[in-house]
Amino acid sequence: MSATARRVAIVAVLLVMVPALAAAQSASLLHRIEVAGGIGVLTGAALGAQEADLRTATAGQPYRLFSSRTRMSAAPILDLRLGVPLGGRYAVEVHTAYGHPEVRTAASSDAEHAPDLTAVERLDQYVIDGGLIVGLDRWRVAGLNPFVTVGGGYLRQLHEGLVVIEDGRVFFAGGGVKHTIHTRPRGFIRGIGARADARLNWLSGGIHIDEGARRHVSVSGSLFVVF
Amino acid sequence: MTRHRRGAIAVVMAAALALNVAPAHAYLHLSVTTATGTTALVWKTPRVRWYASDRSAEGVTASQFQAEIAKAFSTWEAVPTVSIGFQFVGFTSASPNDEDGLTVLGFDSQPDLERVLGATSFVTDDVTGEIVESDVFFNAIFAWSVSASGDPTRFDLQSVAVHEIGHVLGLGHSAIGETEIRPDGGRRVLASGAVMFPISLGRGAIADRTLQPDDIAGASDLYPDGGFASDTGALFGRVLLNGRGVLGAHVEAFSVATGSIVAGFSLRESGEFQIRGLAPGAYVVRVEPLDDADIESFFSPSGVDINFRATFYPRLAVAPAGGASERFDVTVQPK
Repeated sequence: MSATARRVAIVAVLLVMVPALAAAQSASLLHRIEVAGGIGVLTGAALGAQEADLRTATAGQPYRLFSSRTRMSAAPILDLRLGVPLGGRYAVEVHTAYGHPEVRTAASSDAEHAPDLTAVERLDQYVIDGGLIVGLDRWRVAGLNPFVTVGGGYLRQLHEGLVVIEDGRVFFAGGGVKHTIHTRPRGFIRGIGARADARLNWLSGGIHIDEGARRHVSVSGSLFVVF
Repeated sequence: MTRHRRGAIAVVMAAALALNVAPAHAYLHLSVTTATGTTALVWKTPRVRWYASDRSAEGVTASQFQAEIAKAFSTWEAVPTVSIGFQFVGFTSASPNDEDGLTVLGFDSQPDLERVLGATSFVTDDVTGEIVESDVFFNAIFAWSVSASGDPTRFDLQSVAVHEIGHVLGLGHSAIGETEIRPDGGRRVLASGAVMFPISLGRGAIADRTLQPDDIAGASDLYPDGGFASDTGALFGRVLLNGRGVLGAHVEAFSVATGSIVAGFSLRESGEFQIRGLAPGAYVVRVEPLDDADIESFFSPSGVDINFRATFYPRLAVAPAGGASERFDVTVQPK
């Protein structure tokens, strides 16, 4: 083998070894518990309309005292996640999020000309859910490890004053990317990184007017630690 | 036991009778003054025994009358959160205006009360304040209907009976409704949100055979059953105008979730109100002047302020289960 040929061979081996090492690191992290914490935002959604109707002498022709439209506002959220590997590209994750959104009811078209007004209250909203995470190894690029996730869980909303609790359910589908910032082969902490999540959440129950699920998008950024 | 007749309360075509019975608080509840103070007008017996007058009226036999009245009693009795029951004893020749210890419902011709469809009167125990007799007359000068679908030329007997039996229970009038002044000076009802609204929906209307949330809350608060006290909550607040309490303001709690309306009044000079019997949750609070019926339909007009504009409270008010909201102030603006 000539010198040139030897250099090519060495480069080729190196080129093969670098992805292999990265894959080995990623794979080793995939088999460890991951804890993440971050912040994000949950978009608002319409909760429904309700009319203040009174009876009239004619059935089916109510008299409208006023109209109301209620929606939940967008709000910042705090995210905590605990991921446990299942093997291969799969992991399960338990997630909790806390937000403090407003419920805003716009009252309008009053029969006695009360000025239109939006009545507001603030909720304390908790979500506890679990989901399956699937790593998309084939789509890994520039140190970013994409994944998709799907799952469901429990919704708990407390009205202002924390005296009334509303329960509901959450289903979600989404995905994101992880980027490992630092790894080490041994020790209690084996790696740290950052991740970004985007989910489409279907909320049912809880504070609602119309039946059916409301769609809320959540996006968040987190730092994670691998143990 | 001392008994005496305390007063009468009526459902009317266009005007209201003055009351000798005082309102207690929201919905309204009627009250009486005893030696120990003011107390809500209630039955202490779990089962009220009633008689039907054997008088007929044009187009309505005594047995038809009894059947319609029995349906009206059943309407109230069927409310799961109301504990009181009723028992039909029999027909009687006694007048629904006699003070005889019998609770009698029947037709009576009262041509001098040309706008009064019916009225309820009470005999109460002066010591305990409990109701010992309550009579209801239906004014026979009007044409009455017992048709299942109503008769556009007659007043529906069952609908008016449901209203009057609400009084028999101790309920006063509700102000959830809208009216307009007629050219003759009377009022025409446009709509109502309670069977206990003081003005009838008119000939042919049968909607008031069915109770509304305000009626149910009022009766349940008087005769609570089935976890009513622990499962429902109250809103508590004040109505203020220029920093001073408003007496006689009508305060409505509109459920954001269900659209139901339950209402009360500010019955103190401080402007305080309390609306009880609300399902836990968030409410839009709306305050309006008491100008959709004669004030005398509800309570003494002395000191009642109607010179302010209808307004919404800018926060959603939350009624907790088994308790009351923190007190909040609704500020209204002068007209």
